[in-house]
Amino acid sequence: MADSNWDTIVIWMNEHADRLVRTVTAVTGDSEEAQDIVQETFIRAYRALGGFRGTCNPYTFLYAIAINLVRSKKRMHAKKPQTTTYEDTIASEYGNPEASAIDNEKSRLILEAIESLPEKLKIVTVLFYLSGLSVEDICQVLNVYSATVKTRLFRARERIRQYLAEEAGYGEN
Amino acid sequence: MEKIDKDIQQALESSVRQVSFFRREAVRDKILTQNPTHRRSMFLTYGKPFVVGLTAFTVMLSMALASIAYMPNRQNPSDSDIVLVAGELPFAAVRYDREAK
Repeated sequence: MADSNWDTIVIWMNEHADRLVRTVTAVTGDSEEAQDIVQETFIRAYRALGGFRGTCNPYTFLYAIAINLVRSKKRMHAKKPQTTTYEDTIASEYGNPEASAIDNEKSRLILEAIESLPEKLKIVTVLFYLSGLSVEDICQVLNVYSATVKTRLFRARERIRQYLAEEAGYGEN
Repeated sequence: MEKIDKDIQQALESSVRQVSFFRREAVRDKILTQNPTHRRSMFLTYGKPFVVGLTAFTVMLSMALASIAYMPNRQNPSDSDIVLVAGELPFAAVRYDREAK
């Protein structure tokens, strides 16, 4: 399979696939669906590679494809219940007895708060905090203005803060 | 970065820490078997140079055959106004006889 496009995809898979699948898992709450989406992302990236002019970073190109797939899948399966929730994920992750019970509880509440966010706020939150994308990168991925990204981040942060205050009395700390 | 930012980051990272992509082979297989673009690119990679090479070879072969077939000799001088005086072509002494026509 001596094909320069395929070689590029292999490099991108090695560099970005794990981070991409974590991001999609965090957005969808379903790791199996995330595997499907990331697989389809790389296949579409391969097909679209001819039109990739290199004006943006490869990872923003990949994230843009993945987020579009997440949105279209959400529209298709709007009524399908999720098989894995954040609570399941965090419970298995914090099976370690050394983990602090307070941090565990707080993380669980934060994930609940993120899960309850509207899709637009949730995607921006995950891209910024989990994927480590800058505001400019998120603008390219979502094709929106930087002011929009900043507003969504601010709203998401405030909602999470509010949720924590209401649920467990976590204040500004 | 405020504490809430760190808490959000930590919560998200811990929730997906053990997740990794394990469908690399599936991507490869799908691209290889189902993507017509790949077959087209395979033709562009290997097919086009082969066709170009074959065409060049055919042209050169036909030129060589034509030059052998039309090689002038004593019985068949290439130009009717050339008169062979002595020797064999292509080293023959020739004379141009414009009145021969």
